[in-house]
Amino acid sequence: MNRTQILKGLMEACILKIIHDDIVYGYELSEKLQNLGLADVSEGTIYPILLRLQRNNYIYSEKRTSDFGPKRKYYFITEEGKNALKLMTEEWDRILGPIDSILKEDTQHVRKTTDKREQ
Amino acid sequence: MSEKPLIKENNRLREKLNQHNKEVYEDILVYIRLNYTSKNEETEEILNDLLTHIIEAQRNGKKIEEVTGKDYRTYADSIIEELPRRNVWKLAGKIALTYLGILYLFSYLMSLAFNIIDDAPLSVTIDVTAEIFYIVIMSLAGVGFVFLIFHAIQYTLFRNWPAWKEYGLVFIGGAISFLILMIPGFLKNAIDIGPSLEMSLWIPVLLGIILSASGLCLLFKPEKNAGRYRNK
Repeated sequence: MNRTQILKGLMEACILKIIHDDIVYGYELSEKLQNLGLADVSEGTIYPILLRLQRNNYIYSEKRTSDFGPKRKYYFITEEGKNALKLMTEEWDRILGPIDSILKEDTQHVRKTTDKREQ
Repeated sequence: MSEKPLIKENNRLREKLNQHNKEVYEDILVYIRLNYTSKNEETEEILNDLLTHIIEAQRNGKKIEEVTGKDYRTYADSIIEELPRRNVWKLAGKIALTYLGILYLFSYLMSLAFNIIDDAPLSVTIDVTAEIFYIVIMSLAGVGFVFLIFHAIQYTLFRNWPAWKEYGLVFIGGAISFLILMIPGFLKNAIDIGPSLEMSLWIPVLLGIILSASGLCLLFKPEKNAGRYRNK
């Protein structure tokens, strides 16, 4: 399993968080993701996710003139999106610890129900 | 912005791409547009979002592969998967209407022309049972034919095939389907049961004009609810 596959589900939360924190258009959003360390994720990955977030009413878009260049489509988070982000963050907090210890620690010492029966 | 200005803008902006990026982007564009299950306006909108992104990436010295990944088809599929669905039955109905209209118009216009040349009476006897059977079969076959052509074109994309191979496959698919579509026409003449009606040849020609015109109107009329994402 490569990084992109692991990230697939988490990207939704990451994109929602960036849109929550700042007003961005597509290109800026992908730049932010890259600068935050996700450099090997293809830039275009954001578009299917943006479509999904819009379908779920988590974000909406508006065309605005930028300081330089043509009109750009900026994304904004909705109230529903804020709630979803909160839930996603809580969910992440819950699974982060267990997964981290499963992957990094030796799991052999962890008890199983059959251990008792064998004794 | 509705569908038409978006397409216009896309045509204009696409010229800013370099040759390689343009070739790849156009394959993605045709592949996504041919996907008849997605809504038109949302499709055009995401195509423009992607295009403006690629132009900006190109300006910053990046290749299109850094945007879409190397597997263009998988990338295009991932976009299609998230596009809002349209009512495919409604679309099929519109195609069937247009197709039947064109079919009636041309076949009876030909009879009309031949009868005028032959100085024969300008009337036709229509077998009602056979005609109903013919309309149902032809509507289904017509819709199947159009969707098949869409799939055939989608199949040829991203393969770097020479043009003759691409057009050849679509042509062969089209020709075979067309021949198959001729069969119900012959069968119709073979069925001779139930009541029949005699009418002027102008009636089916007129019917053809009405059906094809209303079908085309419905097909190209912008959809309701289009662009609902922005109505916040």
